[in-house]
Amino acid sequence: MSKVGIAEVQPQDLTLEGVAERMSKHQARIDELVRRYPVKRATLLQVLWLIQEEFGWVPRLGIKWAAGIAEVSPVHAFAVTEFYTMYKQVPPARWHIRVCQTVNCLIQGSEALIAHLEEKLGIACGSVTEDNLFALERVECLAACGNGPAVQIDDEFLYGPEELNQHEDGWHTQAADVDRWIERLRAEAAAHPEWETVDQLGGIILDSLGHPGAPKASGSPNQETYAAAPPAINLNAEGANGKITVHALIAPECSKLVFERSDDDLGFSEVGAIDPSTIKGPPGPKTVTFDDRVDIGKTVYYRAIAHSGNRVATPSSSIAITTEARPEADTEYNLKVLSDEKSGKENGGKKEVNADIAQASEKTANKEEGKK
Amino acid sequence: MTDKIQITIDGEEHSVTPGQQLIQALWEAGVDTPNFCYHEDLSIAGNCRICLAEVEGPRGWGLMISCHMPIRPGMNVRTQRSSEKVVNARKGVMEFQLVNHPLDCPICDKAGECKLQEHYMSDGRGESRMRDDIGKQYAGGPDHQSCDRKGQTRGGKHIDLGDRVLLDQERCISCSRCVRFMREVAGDEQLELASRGDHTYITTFPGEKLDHEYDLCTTDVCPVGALTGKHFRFQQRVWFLKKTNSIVPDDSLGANITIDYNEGQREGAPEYGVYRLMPRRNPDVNKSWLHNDSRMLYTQLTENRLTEGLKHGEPCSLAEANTAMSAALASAKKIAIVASGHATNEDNAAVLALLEKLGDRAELFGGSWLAVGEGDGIARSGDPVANRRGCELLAIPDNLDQLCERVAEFDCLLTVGHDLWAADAEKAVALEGISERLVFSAWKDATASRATVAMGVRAWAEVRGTMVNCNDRIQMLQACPICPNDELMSIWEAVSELSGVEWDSAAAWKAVKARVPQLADVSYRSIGALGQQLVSEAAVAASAESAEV
Amino acid sequence: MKRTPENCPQVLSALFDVTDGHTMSVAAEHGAYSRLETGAGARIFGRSQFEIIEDVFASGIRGRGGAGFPTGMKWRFVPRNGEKPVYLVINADEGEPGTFKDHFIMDRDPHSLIEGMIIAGYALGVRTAYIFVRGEMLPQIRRLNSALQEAYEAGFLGENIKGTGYNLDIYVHRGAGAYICGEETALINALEGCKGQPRLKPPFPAISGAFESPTVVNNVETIAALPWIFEHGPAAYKALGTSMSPGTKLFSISGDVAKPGVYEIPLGMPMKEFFDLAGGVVGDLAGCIPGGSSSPVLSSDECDDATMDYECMKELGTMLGSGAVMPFNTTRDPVLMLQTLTRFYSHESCGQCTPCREGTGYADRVVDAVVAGKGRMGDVEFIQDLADQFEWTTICPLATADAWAIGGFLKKFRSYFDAYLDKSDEKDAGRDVASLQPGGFW
Ligand SMILES: Cc1cc2nc3c(=O)[nH]c(=O)nc-3n(C[C@H](O)[C@H](O)[C@H](O)COP(=O)(O)O)c2cc1C
Ligand code: SF4
Ligand code: SF4
Ligand code: SF4
Ligand code: FES
Repeated sequence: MSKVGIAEVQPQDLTLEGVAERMSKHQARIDELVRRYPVKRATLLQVLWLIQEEFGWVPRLGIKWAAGIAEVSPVHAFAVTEFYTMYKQVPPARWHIRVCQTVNCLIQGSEALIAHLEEKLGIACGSVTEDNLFALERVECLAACGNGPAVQIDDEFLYGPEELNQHEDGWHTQAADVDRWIERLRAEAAAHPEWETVDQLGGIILDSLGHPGAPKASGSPNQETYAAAPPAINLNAEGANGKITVHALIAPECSKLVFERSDDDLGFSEVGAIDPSTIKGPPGPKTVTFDDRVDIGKTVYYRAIAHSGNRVATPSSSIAITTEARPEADTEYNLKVLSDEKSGKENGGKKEVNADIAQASEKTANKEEGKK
Repeated sequence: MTDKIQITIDGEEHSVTPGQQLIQALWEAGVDTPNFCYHEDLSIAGNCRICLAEVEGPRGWGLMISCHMPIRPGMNVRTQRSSEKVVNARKGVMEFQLVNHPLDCPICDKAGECKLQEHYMSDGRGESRMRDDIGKQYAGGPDHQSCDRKGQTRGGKHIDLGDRVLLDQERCISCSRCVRFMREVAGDEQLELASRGDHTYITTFPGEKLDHEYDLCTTDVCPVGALTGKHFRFQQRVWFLKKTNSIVPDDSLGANITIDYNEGQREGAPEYGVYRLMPRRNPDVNKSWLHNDSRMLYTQLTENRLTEGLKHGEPCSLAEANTAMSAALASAKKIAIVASGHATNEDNAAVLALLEKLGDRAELFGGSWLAVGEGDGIARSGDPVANRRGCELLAIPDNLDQLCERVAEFDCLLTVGHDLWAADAEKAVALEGISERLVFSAWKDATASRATVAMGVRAWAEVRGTMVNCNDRIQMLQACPICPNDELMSIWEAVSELSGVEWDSAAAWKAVKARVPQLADVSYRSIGALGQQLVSEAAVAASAESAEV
Repeated sequence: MKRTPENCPQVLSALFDVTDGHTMSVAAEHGAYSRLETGAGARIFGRSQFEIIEDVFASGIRGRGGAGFPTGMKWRFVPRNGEKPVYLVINADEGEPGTFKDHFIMDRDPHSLIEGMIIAGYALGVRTAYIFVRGEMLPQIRRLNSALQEAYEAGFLGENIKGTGYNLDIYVHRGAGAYICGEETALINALEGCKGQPRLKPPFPAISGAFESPTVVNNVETIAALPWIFEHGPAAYKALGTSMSPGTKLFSISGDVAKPGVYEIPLGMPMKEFFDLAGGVVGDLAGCIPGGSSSPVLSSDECDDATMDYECMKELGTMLGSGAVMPFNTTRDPVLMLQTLTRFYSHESCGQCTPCREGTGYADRVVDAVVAGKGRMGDVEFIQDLADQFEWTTICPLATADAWAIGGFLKKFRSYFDAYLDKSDEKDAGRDVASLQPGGFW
């Protein structure tokens, strides 16, 4: 059970040119792969699959050739081939039987099934039958536990009665099912001695426009303006004693947020604008706060208009708010503080007073959820 | 200078240089922190996990690798000194590191400077908990596996990886340093870690050899004895070696090296001599790298040395050679003196002093016929004349070709440590038209063999002196006590003796300084191990002007 | 087959039992791609990227790949419209033992994934998106490719989708056999043509992932839920499940249960009710792995009050993970179960970090020794100690997952291990373990 001998099984008469020639029939798919990624290296895994499709396994010269296509060093391609378990580095058997042995399948009887298969095929796991028809391998979870013990023959899952040829919930692989498969495959081998190849990329689309800027690609990048400019959202407001705070959520790309007010929800006029870059915080959307004063008891409407560079978003939906008098707070003093703020004068007690108001206003604020 | 920042290590405030990884800061603060995969001149892989430390984050204390943890002002760190968790985590890593390691230190060339060996002594568990009845998994690559006497599959040993490097797959700790070196520095990915899990092994593409001008650097970066240089295989145990800091003499970048030599004094210690040259890290010059050719220069220290004098090719004593040279100089009508870009500034200063003493009878020549190549951006400038810049600063002309045209004017030629015939035999042949040819050389080279009188001198590893590299950095060569003949003098000693002044080392350096204004603030001490960047000529002139005003 | 409890909308499984639900024509009858309609009342096209991201945020949907990170939050961090393109990569590397829900989606409703990808792509400004499918799932890759073909033909993919000016290509990328490629940075490496080894973080993929560009990696199920969310609105989705774990989730259940399969239940459903939905436990429940093999096992007592949501699982010291539920009964041997898991993790370790590379393998060999009857007294503590040494000391959580699996089994089924150790002196007590390694050919 080891890989000793890989060097010996390499085909002696194969050359790099020979690989290239055999691979030429796959050129359309290789061209498509090269189009798909911004760098050629990303094609490596897929090109190795194509090698495996063509040869049935991945000879070392195939690895080297793939490295050339993907423009990576040969040793990089080799390390990648060694890393993944599905690239076969020795000539394979015609059919590859994988049996899952991980915990769910263990419970559902994988060991018994493996023992059965070993007997049926006359080989131990990790080896190939003498007629080179079957290889038997223990593998880890195949993501088909519901039908466990999960079995795969080549790339097909056994997950339902063979005759139905479709997945059946709650069906469990039974020794008899696998036996039937094996018999059928043996019969097929007798009838069709030549091996068929299976498309290892599962029928990829061949005429995509490709990754913009990738070699051979013609796809064009997305315009910045394909989507509408981001509006301000989640507008809400609170306040008392004529002082109102409006909040809105804006997108990271927003460069200016204009607040507008209206008495009747019809004619809005600007009452202030905020530059979001002045708001500190982690990257991502930002909450913008705007303070305003209106007469106590009056209902006003707000909306916000977000600008992103020179793109202007549609106005946010408007909200209505009515501030109420809050008897506990000293309105006179309140007004004085605010006017001080405007004139930019220092006021020792300002901070405290404002905090006081904020606290109190939370209790009494009359929030209205948008307009009906 | 950037301002230092404060971080807290084990409850103590330390100020450290910003912009580094925590591991560097810990080193700076004097906290020993082990590392395998981290290398200051390679990208960060963070895979060995030995450098774990506890760092306080928004969600409390957590183990983090210190090599991938940029430092922030005020960060709070616990190390092995105050955290049991760190000690245990490191013990754990060491224990795992040894699970599949052969520990064949007695036959390992890395023993003595192996990071694994070092850390299992200091950070490992006292006793091994590994169970002898549980096999190892160090099978290595499929092409080199073998089976040992116990029936255990083992990785390849002493695999011939290329012309210069040997690989022991079992000893590899998958740190990926060599991979990163080849990819990032050499720019030629020839090594990779293949497979995965504990089957991971280091390999070239099967059947291909590791072959790069810098491939021996992989043996330096390899923290263990997986990659070793063939030239050093079983030569010497490293603990017998002493180290002297120096620079390479074959390139004008002046890659920093240590000369690893054995004095051979001790009982039972093998023969004396230089065993290897190792790159010495200098972030401003060669980082941690050294060209293979430079690295192998030590072999010339014992080959073909001129340890005595030669008169017309016949050996003579050094004293006889000296007398003959003095006589020749005294009787010559017109002497061409060729200074050398391969010699130190001190040597050339002695040559200039001789020139002045000889007055009108002598004329100075300089330059080199060696081809100047392209720099490789790693550890070579491509200019083989190591001290070309030093010659320029000493105002030595670049006019060798003129000398060839004017040979008829001279009847005596004096060369110092400059193998003109090897550099360009076709051009040099003209010099044979000068009847008296006096040569100072460390080797029986082509020039010495054509001398009428040649005198052996010390080679680059045996002298102390300065050179200026192509980027105006003055650096020092230091002498190791391995000279094949203790009587040999360095060039400046021999030349100053010829001019009758008999300098000591301080006088030689003073003479250099006297001639080069940029060296005003420079001393051997200020040059130190890492060299000193010279201020530009313009800056010197400007400051001189302002001083006048 | 009944896949949902009463009154639970079929967010993800609506087409699972519809014949030919994987084809465009049938799927369209059931509303596929209807969210992409343009014009008045458009739900996607015509709206701003920001609004869509915030809708996803408001729905509260959390990543279904295992970590349960809020998807909207992840999307919010992505620097859109910058110099570098944004990539969307779908994690279809389903490999967590016990999980087979993504397998179902790709098999039976690939169009929901594609439609979800178009929505996500539009919101994030993606031009090129990839679906990374594990190598073993070739039949599912075929399904996806033919579904993509249909979507291209119908004009939902390619350039200028439905005349909106938005361009999107989706490509399927086949993996080649490595569980670790499910970790998002390993997946990105595999996509880039490298070994699937996780990267050091930061940088996180949302900032610098595939091709050094901002990259969103999302699980198949996460994305496949988007069409429903935009059909019914984020509030409707958030109303399902619990407040911290909104929505429904697909659970793959297998093991000792009468009707194993994929079920869709609202998060927060009591585990016992879920077992009943799946036909009930066969035999006496001994314990249950609640969220894929990486989640510590629960004892039968713990199962009694457990509910299927992120918070409850966290409280029980385990996780909801990928939603792979595996109850087992008292006839099972937890020692053998743990053995398959330690073997699994050592086999799937990518081999970068020392503790994981060497530690998972060593722990596995010690477990093997116990199983083989060569255990020694103190081995249980030794294994636990090894596990502690590779918990949270590595680049990615694979080693930690192994440590959790070990910790769970050792703690809750200790007596079984002790029984093995007691038997150790008897000859032939255990079974031969040398031949259990997977692979063997190449
Ligand atoms: C070892 C490991 C394996 C993982 N395997 C998978 C997987 O098979 N499928 C998956 O979707 N996520 C997997 N993840 C989680 C991904 O890293 C990532 O969190 C997820 O793809 C993000 O998508 P989501 O937010 O939609 O869940 C795995 C994580 C780890 C650490
Ligand atoms: S690499 Fe060599 S010196 Fe280092 S621990 Fe291993 S055998 Fe010993
Ligand atoms: S050979 Fe040496 S440098 Fe390279 S990965 Fe192994 S231990 Fe590291
Ligand atoms: S924890 Fe394991 S799988 Fe994850 S990066 Fe480290 S070695 Fe790889
Ligand atoms: S030195 Fe930090 S992980 Fe290796």
